[in-house]
Amino acid sequence: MVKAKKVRREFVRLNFTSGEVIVSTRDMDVFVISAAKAVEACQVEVKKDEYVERFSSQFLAPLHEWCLINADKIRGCYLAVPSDHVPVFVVTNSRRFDFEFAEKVAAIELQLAQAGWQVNVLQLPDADDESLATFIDLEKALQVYANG
Amino acid sequence: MPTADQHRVKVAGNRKFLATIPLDDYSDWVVVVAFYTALHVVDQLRATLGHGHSRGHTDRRAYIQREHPKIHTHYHLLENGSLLARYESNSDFFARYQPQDITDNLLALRLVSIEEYARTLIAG
Repeated sequence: MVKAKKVRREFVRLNFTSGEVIVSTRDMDVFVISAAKAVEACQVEVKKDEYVERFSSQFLAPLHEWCLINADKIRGCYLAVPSDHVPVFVVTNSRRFDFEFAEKVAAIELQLAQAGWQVNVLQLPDADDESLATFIDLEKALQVYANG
Repeated sequence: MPTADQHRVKVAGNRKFLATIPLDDYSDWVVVVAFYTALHVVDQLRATLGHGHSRGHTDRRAYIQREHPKIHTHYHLLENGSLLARYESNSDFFARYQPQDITDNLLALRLVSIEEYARTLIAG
């Protein structure tokens, strides 16, 4: 029996230009839903037209900047659909868990949390898409950073 | 809601259990039990200080981020390890953590630091 080829949507890949987040029209719905849920998790009152801006400039931009600074360690950075918090997965280049880098991952989590976000940033050592799918819904995840 | 003393009893039980798990065969379970020991230490501390009760992992994490940033990194590493231990395959997990990483870092450094920090505040 021939197995049907699994068709899967790619990550919503975000692009950053001068700190601004660029999202394609096709991906806009997924992006806006993530922004709304991320702001909702903070339990702050934000006008509907402000939550995308707040999420972009105060969460995604600093996270992307941090990825660039630590690019030598990071293969990709993904944001799963926010629930009562924003789950972020940082995939590293190594199969081993990197304890030194883990302190930097903890530090960015604390920085974002102290800026008011309900967030959990976790290290996933060299995970392929199949392993990633254990942790995040690939259909709705945002790719904040990809190396190469 | 459990009292501080009930959390203390859970910590003692988890610690006792932790000492019985063969690290070479079940390093994933060592990490999981270490994390849940830390979790009850935090909840014991929270109840002792009159800071209410944790309503789940997100609430507890936010409490640590807000009130106890000194132990945030320690707790974060245990939580990260526990998540990988629970959801990844054994072959993946065992490739990520060597037994010595677990004893030297997650147990001797992270868990012990959280316990010492909480002990000081609870005693104070």
